[in-house]
Amino acid sequence: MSEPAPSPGSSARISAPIATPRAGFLHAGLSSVTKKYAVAMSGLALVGFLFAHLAGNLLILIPGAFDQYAAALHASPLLPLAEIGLFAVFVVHVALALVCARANRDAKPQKYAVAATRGKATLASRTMVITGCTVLVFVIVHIAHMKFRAPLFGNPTVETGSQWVLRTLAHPLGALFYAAGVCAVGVHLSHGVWSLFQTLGWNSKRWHARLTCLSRAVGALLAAGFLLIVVYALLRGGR
Amino acid sequence: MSSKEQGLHLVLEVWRQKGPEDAGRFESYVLDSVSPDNSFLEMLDQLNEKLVKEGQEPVAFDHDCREGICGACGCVVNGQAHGHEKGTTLCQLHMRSFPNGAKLVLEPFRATAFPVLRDLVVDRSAFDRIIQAGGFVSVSTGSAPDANLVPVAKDNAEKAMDAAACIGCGACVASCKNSSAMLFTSAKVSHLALLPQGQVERERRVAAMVAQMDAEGFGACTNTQECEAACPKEISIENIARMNREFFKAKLKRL
Ligand code: HEM
Ligand code: FES
Repeated sequence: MSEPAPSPGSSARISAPIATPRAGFLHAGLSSVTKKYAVAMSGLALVGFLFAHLAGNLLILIPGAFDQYAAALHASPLLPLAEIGLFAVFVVHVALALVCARANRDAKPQKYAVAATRGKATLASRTMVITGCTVLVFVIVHIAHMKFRAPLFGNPTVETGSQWVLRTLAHPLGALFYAAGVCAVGVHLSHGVWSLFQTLGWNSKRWHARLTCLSRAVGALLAAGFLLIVVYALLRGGR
Repeated sequence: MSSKEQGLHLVLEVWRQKGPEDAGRFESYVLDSVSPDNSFLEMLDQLNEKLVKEGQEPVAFDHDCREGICGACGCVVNGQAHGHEKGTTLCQLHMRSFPNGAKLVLEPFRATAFPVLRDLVVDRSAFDRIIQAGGFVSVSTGSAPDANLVPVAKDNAEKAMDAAACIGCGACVASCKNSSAMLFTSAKVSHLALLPQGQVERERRVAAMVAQMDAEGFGACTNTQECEAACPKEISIENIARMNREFFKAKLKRL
């Protein structure tokens, strides 16, 4: 005899088990959407930091203000805490972004013989891993140079932090390195900002055009702001 | 005589692969007298008739309705899923879209989750398993209610209809550099999340469908938007934002 047909109201599927997330230590049992969420949230935090960082750094245009600001910052007992937090956010962003990037590569092992796009993908959106890795290298060198004063771009004897910044940024290699680094951040964010809104679910047809516009503006603004400091150092000839 | 009367002369580079284990390779064919009024699939029929007459194996390709509603057809033409026309399935693409003498490179949809079965045919059962994981309503809602008995806001009805237009062809996966299935999955999640019938299983649905999508080996969206542009039904990436939102809300409720 054939089995009785299941009644429409009692489908067995409603209680079917939910598939387990991707195996492997690097995925940490997280779904793709969760990992993307963490990349977006940490990206948002990093963008927030960049605005604060730029605002503080622009004080270098006002004589004396930057060193005063730096002294106040270093006097705060909260600084080490903030630094550890920022470092953790950065590590989460980079680690999960790279884990996703690797899974994405594995999902498309064979490319098409004819490479074509429909004109929607942008240079920035297709090169997030490359601009991201450029920023990673930049940040490591940047911390060695500014925080630990590694003599990478000349080794001037200085009395204040602002002198170290302006004199090493006036070094041709220093200027070039910083210009390239902040441009990479700008390109990363020209896609990253609207992308994070989309990933977090804060997007719709109504907002899409405005958010992509905002994204480019944020990328351009941050890059231009930091570049201004490099140009200022070059104009001042390092003094 | 114009080329229109004689038909088109085409040079085809077609991916030939005997089976899932075969490495596969491109083969060149020349086809003459192709009517510009023919669909792309009719052009392939013409090629296959020629190949059969010559004693060669015909090119395997998927098709069913040939009117753009079933989602069976699809291959990559010169790097673009379903060819270059906007909002068009391969079966609805006409040969008049190509110039005389065109060189067309035909490849199967590429993705780890869509293994090639033969020539231009890929196994898209991963999509079926994503649907089986939660893309349905299994609570009994009785027989069909009278029209407008259950009110649905106009805006939601429109959005649900737009999402439901997805025919599950896989062009989104094919055109994505990460082979992400998020446009497909999000269209199904959105379609049901926006309607009253979908509410009971709303949270479980999104969690289960995303988990199945990951288990099948699709990549994650990096928002390059190529899927939306390639989709023959022009499904919006707004659905992906909604799916992410639904997923997060479902996780919060489970905490
Ligand atoms: C100042 C430092 C950085 C900032 C402000 C930043 C910001 C962002 C933002 C806002 C996003 C979009 C998030 C999303 O949509 O999911 C993003 C994505 C990403 N970031 Fe970063 N990022 C930074 C550094 C890095 C570094 C060092 C890497 C190194 C590997 C990296 C790699 C990536 C990748 C691969 C993505 C995903 C791309 C995509 O989904 O299209 N980022 N980043
Ligand atoms: S054959 Fe049905 S959509 Fe093309």
